[in-house]
Amino acid sequence: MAILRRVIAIFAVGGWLGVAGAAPLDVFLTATPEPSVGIGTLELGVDRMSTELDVFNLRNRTTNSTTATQSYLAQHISGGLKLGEQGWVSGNLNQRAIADGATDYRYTSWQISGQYRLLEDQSWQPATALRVSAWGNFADQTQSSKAVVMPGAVLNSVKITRPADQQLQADLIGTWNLAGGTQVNASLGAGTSELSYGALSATTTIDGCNYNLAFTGNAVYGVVILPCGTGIYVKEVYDNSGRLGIDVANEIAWRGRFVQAGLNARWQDGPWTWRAGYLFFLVQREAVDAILASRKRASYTQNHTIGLEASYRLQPNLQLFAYGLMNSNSFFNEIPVAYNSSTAARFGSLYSVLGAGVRFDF
Amino acid sequence: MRFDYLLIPTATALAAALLVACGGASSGVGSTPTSGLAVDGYLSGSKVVCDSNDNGVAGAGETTTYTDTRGNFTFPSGCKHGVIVSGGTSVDTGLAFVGQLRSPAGATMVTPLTTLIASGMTQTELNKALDLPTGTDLLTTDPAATNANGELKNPSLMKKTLAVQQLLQKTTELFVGLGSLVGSQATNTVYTEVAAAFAEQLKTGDALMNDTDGVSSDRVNTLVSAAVTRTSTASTVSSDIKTALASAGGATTIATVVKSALTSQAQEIMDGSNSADITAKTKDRQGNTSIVDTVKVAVASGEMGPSTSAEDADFLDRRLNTVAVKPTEAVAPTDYVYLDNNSIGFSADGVSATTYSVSDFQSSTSGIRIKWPMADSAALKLKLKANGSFTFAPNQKLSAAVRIQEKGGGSGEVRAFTDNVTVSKSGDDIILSVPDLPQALIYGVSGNAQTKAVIDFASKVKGITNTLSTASGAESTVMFGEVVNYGINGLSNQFAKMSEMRGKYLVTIVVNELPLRKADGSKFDFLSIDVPTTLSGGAPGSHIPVTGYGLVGYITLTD
Repeated sequence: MAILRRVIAIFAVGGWLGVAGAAPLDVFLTATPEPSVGIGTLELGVDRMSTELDVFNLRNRTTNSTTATQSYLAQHISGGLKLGEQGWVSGNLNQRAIADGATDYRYTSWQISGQYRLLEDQSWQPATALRVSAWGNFADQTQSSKAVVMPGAVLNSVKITRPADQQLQADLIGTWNLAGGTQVNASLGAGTSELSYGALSATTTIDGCNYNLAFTGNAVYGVVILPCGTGIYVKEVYDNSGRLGIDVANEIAWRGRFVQAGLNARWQDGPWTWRAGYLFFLVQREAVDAILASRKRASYTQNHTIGLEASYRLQPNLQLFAYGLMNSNSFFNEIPVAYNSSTAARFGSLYSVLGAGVRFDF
Repeated sequence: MRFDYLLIPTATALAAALLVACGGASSGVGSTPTSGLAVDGYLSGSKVVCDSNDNGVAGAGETTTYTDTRGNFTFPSGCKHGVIVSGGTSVDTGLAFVGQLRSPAGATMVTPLTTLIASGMTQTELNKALDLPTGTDLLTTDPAATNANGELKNPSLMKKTLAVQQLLQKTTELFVGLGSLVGSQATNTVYTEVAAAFAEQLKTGDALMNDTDGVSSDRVNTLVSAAVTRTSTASTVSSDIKTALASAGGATTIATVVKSALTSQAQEIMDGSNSADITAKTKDRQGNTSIVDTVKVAVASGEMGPSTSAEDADFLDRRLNTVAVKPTEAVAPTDYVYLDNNSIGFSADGVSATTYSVSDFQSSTSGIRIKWPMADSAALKLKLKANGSFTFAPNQKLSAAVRIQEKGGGSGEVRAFTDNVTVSKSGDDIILSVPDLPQALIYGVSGNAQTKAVIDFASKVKGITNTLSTASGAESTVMFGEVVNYGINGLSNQFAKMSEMRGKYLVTIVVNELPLRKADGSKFDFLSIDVPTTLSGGAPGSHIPVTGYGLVGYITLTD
């Protein structure tokens, strides 16, 4: 446990514990994911960041953001299964609760991957694998109670029902097995993102009266929330002229393409296994970032992730692990659906999480 | 957020000027929608009230809906009680519906016949009284239903429905007219009493009508006599009417004098050969006011009264019968107000006024020119005169609406209304007052049709009282500039560019319940304005129709 505390301390001091890259834990990609014993692995884990854990107040060391995520709690179950000598399939299911002080988001994340080892390692030739993944996030709804300033209105709150993202991703992974169980991995990947949503609604205030707004495409339908003063007031309004300046589909249901590159290493020390990695992520989004630029607001297209994991083998097929992950730009490449024109500013912040769990090989 | 509108202030002004206030809303009384059909010919734009306290009176707090253009109505939250229908227009004849139909709980039809059932008859009794096939379900059978060729499926039922309405309506109009009352409050109250008297009489005795011999004048005589007797003692009926009925000679004399005329009118409808002919005859007879007009002249001249002999009554009966089926009114109408010289004064500063004729207003080439923006003191200056004498029943309400449509290619439109404005008469004064909690709404569409809104301006008109005088030489002022400017200043944050409005607009004004006619006594056009009260997404949702006599004309806003 001393080691675990040390790990936590290291990341805390580093100031940027964070979630993994695009697909979950891509920061530790390897061409040889199969366990040393057995044909598969099952993992249960918890990720967490809170005021209590953030003893160095790292989350407030943000760049261009005053809306950093406050706390994060996630549970995940993941597993993999060996298929033949070169094949590996894996899946991951993750429940995430994110709070930024005024808003709670609850996402379900999923991932399925198939990985095939094209080449085994020989001499300096790395083991080389191709991984193809589909992954995404969805929620019943997300609701923000923070004011969102749009060109034609200030939205007091915004609610999106059934927000979701879907990604297709391909990675080429090389693994060099060095002496003493040490392993070095490099990866290069690319993919596409597509966001969707069910409905967008919001509240706003006009001349002292509050209104519920419902968007259909860019058309907005507003209904007053009574009571509403003692004077003349607009009871209902419909507008499809775009005067609010909101391009709904492009702002919250964008499409994009991304690439990522990573480097990580694994080494062993008795019952301990250590992994450390870095992942660079670059995304090009259609429309939404241009819209942000037109409003002279910041957009973020790059993310840097660093991860460190320590695992302790209790039994030949049972390990406890703990890890810390840090993102330079919060969750934006792990939960793309969380990024839209009204939330983009929040992705300027550093963020990190601590994780722990158990891994069972069978 | 800003919403650009082009027409709002004018609508607000005119609506306020007309003192349209509204009321209406009420509680739901069921859990599943209840639908029905109002028929005297299909009734469009009629007010349908769920009689949740089962007292036979449309109360202010009871759930209200309106019929569509085919007579259909729905209570979205259901109605487990009887319903009451009033107002609106027959889509067959184009005439305003006169009376107050009722139906018992569970009925899907609301017709003059269901009104008799709601007034105490059984279906069996009514089928017998009208010589309809035993077992005819009058509560669910649509008398106006047609086949694929447009012919009535049940012409006998339709003709008898219309003939009964003719008897109910003309008897009601006679009683109300004798009392010199105007407005639906008096009409509906009397109609209810007349229907109750008819129902009581028709429960027993000979049939009122049959397919062989037609309408029985003897039965009409007993019906009218019973109606006079009942109305003369009904607590809900104005004393003016009771007094007038007595002055006209009472039950026996009145029934004797009008029985043949009423019978002839009902028989005319019964003689209709096909759907079109039935409609034509109904339109002619329902629009004919000869009975009331002639009887009033007879009473005024002393020919008819408490001392009228049976022989004299029979003579009057025969004379009246000769005019009752003529398509034109027998005598010039009385008991109405009119604009002196058919002119309207518009004052930009509240003091001096420019006079326009109604024909100027109606002319698409001239119209009324209004300086824009206007001063707070801008007002209408009206010189009203009265022909005859009239009064309103207590608690008489009126509605008014205005529709303004942008001309010249734009889609800008405003429809505004207020409802439930109390109208009363004191001497030469017509007093309009808006209740504390009116409903007053504006529906607006921007010039580019991309923005629509429903605006509640009830707070701005509630509590207002205005007096229109018909005294000789009197000029009535209807202030509206302040309200218009309030709209500009108060709402321009959302409805920008109102002060930039210029150009020509088509204006439709409808006021119901006021006996307003042209100077020569002829009627204004019978019009209806549907005012959406909600937006269902981007489309108009529920609506309130305001139907009555009105004007269509033009205004031009200038610098």
